[in-house]
Amino acid sequence: MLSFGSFKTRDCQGLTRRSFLKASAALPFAAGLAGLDPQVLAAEAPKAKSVMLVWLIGGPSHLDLFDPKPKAPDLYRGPFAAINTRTPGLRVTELLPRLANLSNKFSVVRTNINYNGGHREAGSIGMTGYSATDGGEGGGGGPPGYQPHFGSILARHRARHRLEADSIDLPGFISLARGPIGDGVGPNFGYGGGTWGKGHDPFMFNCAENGKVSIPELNLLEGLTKNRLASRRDVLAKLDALRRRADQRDFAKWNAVYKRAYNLISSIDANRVFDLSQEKPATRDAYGHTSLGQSALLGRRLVEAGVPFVQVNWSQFVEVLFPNRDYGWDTHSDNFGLMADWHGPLLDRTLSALLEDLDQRGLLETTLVCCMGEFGRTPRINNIGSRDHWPHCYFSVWAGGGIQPGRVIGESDPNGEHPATDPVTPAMVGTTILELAGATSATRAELQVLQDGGHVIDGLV
Amino acid sequence: MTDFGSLRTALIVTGLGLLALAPQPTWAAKPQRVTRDGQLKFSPVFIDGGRKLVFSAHNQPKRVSIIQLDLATGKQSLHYPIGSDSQFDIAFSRDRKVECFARSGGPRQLSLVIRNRVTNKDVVFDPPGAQRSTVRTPRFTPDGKRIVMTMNAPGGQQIVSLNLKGKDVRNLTASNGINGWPDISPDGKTIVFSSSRNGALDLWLMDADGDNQRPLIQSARRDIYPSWSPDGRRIAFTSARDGNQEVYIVDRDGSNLRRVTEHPERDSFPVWHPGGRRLLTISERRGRFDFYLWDVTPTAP
Repeated sequence: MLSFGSFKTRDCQGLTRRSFLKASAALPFAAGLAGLDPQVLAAEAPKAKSVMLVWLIGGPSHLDLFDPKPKAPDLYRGPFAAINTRTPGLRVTELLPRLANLSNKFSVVRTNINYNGGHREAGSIGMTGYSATDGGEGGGGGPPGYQPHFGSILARHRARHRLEADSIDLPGFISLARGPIGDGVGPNFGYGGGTWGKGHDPFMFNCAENGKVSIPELNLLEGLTKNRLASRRDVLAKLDALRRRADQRDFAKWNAVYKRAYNLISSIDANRVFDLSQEKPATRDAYGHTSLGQSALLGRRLVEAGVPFVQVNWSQFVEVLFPNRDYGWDTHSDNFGLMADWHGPLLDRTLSALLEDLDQRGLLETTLVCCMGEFGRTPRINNIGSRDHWPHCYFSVWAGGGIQPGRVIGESDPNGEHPATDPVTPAMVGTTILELAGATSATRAELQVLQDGGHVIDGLV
Repeated sequence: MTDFGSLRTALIVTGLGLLALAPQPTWAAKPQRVTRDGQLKFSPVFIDGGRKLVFSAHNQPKRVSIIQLDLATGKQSLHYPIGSDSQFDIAFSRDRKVECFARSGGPRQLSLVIRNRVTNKDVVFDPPGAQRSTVRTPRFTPDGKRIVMTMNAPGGQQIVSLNLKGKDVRNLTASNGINGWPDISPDGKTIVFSSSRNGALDLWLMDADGDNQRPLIQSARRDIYPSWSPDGRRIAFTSARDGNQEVYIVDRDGSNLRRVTEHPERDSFPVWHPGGRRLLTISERRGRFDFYLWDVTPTAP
């Protein structure tokens, strides 16, 4: 059940889909609908009706997961054994036995690269294909500022070229996390609309390990969320009172979020999507009763409901040994202990459950799943027995939605430090995602995004 | 203040019946499930003769806390009610006068807090080196005078010991690869630990001063979290040697290996009940993490 802040809300029985659309037309996530041309509704179905980006914030170690180097020197290889998979030429570490057994469902790219070694910057580049400073990969020419996230691009495109399966109740780009995606310093700049504005940001939900869904942004201002939201009139009255005493800028930000949230949770159909209790217990068990597991399950439900782009974030889900800091996979210390206990096994369970569930429901064929972080980790073990940031070579996992499964794309050098074959850039990642989801080169040109330096990853589709 | 309503567990075993166990001639077919909260939990320790269990749990969205579980009542409470940092990996001296645990939030990523429960004073040990240096898995020596633990600091991930003032740090290992997860034999003479110096994470033994390091048992997959039995004859540990994480027991000379758990989900963090006839694990079942107790056969004298 979706809750408003930390309280459950009442379904708004009197709100029809038509009135919801009318109400939501002015809302940011429905920006495309507001100017909808009915003649363009029937777009040709792309291979990927939806995209699920499983974002491993912090930078997962490629050598300890999908690119083991058992023959590398001691200082590189790490302690985890390499095991065979169903895919010829693909070995993964012993931390991923379930995925090893499912490798016929996905392909692995081993030559991803990024252009920055900092989380916020690399995360921004990884999710937009651009750095903020040069506006494009490798230097110059692009527009200034942070470019829109791949999800923002697809949501905008689908708002104008809606597929029959696309939801009209739900935002086109939903991000599942406990809070803004970033590190201890701040959020990734490229998490949302970027130069297009906050109206193209993802709508963010938090899904707890017990399946309870909430909207973290509604906690921006204390007070309102502590009241049961019985009716729009009551809420507006409270908002007016709040407006008088709150900082105006914070209020404006909160108010915009609130309006989006209110309309969203007022939709009965949308609200139903967030009720994980409607799933069979065995399905919920399969994903694992962690925030990551239940979030991935919620992501599948959102895809099923027709959301074009869902990002499931490994954000404060597991590695919370360091409170109030969002380190995710940023295992500068105790990398091998944390990987063995939590990160490896939980990713193995949740990602394999997601792929199997999508496949069994017939959704994998039309759902593109991409799992990656902003970079990898140093192949050479650092002086405190762990691994640091490494943007020069890392992995991504791809499945469904037009991807050819059971392939290994690219090869890293013997120690996993650099690509031995052609590198795969963030722009290529974005181009591949968008192309498969129907935002073709013509669309990207029209929207002035991802026009330079990107092409579909060779051999993957 | 934490609401413990949501933390309360349903205890399957009842009261002190747990502690009065007849010797079991064979492995128990089914374990006793101790908790049902399903939370991510780790590093359990028995105290008070096995009547209580203290462990670390992801019981809050952004924090790890040390929880005390009364096995007779099933009631859970915060072991340290005060504190905003994450606290975990607790250990107790035999006389219970001193406790130590890893804590985040200090000048290093993870510091060791040595807490004297008699004087109510803390000694904080910050591992040397980079801001990201850490300590994990501390254990008191049986005489209560020193602590042995894993430390990530310049020199790699090694096993060190230090006194209760946080001084006199001695490197017990200095090898290549990863060293960690130490446990000390009941007589205090031997330390079992895991090391990847030969490739995979294998179990090793060394004398209490770090001398005489020798392999105990090897496999191609990881062997971690060794736990010495109260009689000193056996060592329980977690191994992925069958492709999945299971709990095994081996005699201290490396012989008589046998598997305790066999399940497609994970079993780990074995610790012995003080009576030596039962083994506690944290086992993942249907995607949830709970404590389970397994009957184990003592080695014939």
